[in-house]
Amino acid sequence: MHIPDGFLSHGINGATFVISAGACAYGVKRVNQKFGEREIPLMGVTAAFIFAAQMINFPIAGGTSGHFLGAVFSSVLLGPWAGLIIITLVLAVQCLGFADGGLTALGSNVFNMGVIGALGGYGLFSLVYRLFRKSQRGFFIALALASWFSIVMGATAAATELAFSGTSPLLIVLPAMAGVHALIGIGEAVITTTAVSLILKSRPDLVGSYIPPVRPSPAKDEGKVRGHREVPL
Amino acid sequence: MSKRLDGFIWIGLGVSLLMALFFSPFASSSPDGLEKVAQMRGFKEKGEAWRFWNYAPLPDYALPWIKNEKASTALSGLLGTLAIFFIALGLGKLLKRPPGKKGVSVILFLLLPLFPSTSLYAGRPLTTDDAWTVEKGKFQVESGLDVSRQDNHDREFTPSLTLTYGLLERMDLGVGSGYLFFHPAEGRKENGIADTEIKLKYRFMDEMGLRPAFAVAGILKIPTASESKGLGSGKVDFRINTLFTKNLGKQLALHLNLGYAFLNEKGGDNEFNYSLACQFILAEKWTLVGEIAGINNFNGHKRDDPLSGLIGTTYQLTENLVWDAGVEIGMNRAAPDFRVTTGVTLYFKP
Repeated sequence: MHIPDGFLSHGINGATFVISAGACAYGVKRVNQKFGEREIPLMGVTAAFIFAAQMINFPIAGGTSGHFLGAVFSSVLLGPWAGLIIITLVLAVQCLGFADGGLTALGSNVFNMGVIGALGGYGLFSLVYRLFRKSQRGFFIALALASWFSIVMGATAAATELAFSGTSPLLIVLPAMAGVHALIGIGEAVITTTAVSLILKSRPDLVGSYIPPVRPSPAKDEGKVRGHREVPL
Repeated sequence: MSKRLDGFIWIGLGVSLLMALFFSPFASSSPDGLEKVAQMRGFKEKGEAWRFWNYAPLPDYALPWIKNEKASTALSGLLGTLAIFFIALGLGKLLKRPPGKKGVSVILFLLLPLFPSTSLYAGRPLTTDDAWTVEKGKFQVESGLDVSRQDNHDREFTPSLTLTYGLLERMDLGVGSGYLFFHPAEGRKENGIADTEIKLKYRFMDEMGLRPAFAVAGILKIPTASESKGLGSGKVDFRINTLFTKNLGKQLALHLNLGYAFLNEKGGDNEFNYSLACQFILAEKWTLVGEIAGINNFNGHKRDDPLSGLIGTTYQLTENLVWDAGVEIGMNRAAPDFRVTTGVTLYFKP
């Protein structure tokens, strides 16, 4: 989904750049407020993992491939703002170091995958998680749904940008992009839930958004049925 | 929440590196979702017409000098994963620092790969190492004299000597040690041989175009200093250091070191060390040098993670002899309050 130079008009690139830069600036502030020494190496290793995973394209139908994005993955681990920063960092390194995604389209790519993918994906995740009253099953359903939607919503945003740039008519590019990415999104959901459940098994304290279901405790805590832990950021 | 992170971080990084190394070469090479749509809907050419940023060192995840496509992808993936880990770590550190300092370092860091080049050599009085190796068959002798004072007014006075030999065109071997005079603010004065370090450095990549030179050094610390006198830890330590050097024009060179030390001291945490140095040719024989160096042991508190800045100068006495001097200022309590160093570096071929 990395848009190269030349696909988008300068107007669209400029507009998305302003939105993305604003979101990142605010994200940096939020991360700065909430993060301690402890989260920084965790951020580094999450970014490294996402970069490595994004290199592994898996084949989907019709001679097309897709790869992991990791927007919801990083948001669920470290919070949506850190997720946005991580995705932005990965995109910037891919663009500057590996010519993957255009520099003029960096604002759009950050918008599609970071703002929509990480912030939007996390919003959807917490909504669904809440609908399931923060049960363990609900956590994984929310995770899978949000991962899938993060890809499809990101692709929809990309298609919209392409259409507004006059590259391809909306009615052609939107169904095409959404269709292909509906398949890629399945891969995203599978990888995200697998990776998060592996981390949950070994180090549940690292999954910031997960609230362990609390068994009704005897005697004094009768009143509190569900444990509440603050969701990071 | 009190569990330590170290183990997880290194496992996570290891998994990521293995993924990049072993899975990425076998990734599907079919066009991705967007490329496919662009192909089918006939706007693919638009993306190939021009590229705004032509300076990516590893375009399309390939190292230009490796012929084997799979090996090339695997290695570029490995480099990218490592790079992004350290960039994220560095960025995280910068975000946690008071504003003001961060702007400059971020800009320096971002400018790192931007300029074309000739070569320039690092060395004393910097503690930052360069990615260059001593010329094959040549010797380099560095002798120095350090005076340092800790915040609690303990003083140290250390003459030192390092001998480095160019083993191969791309590899050198160095041995260095010193003699330590320790004058604590209170208590007994001690003196004795300092720890000895053996360093093997190999340069993997020459500087070419926009790509920095890259070398890896393994440093073994032999505990020759007396533990009972409190001059050393008495343990063998191993440190691995990655070195990047980039010349920016004819007058300026930047050096970046990122390393990790495995310490055997009881209760000591392993350490991650980082430093960024620049050298600027001021006049024909004079250079100005500066660096920021620090260590982080990831033990959760900052108090024992030293951070210091150094500024110094070198003067070329003859073709093969360079004099230098520098002052290092500690930016927090863990680093020495200040350190003054002066020395000479001699090159000769037997």
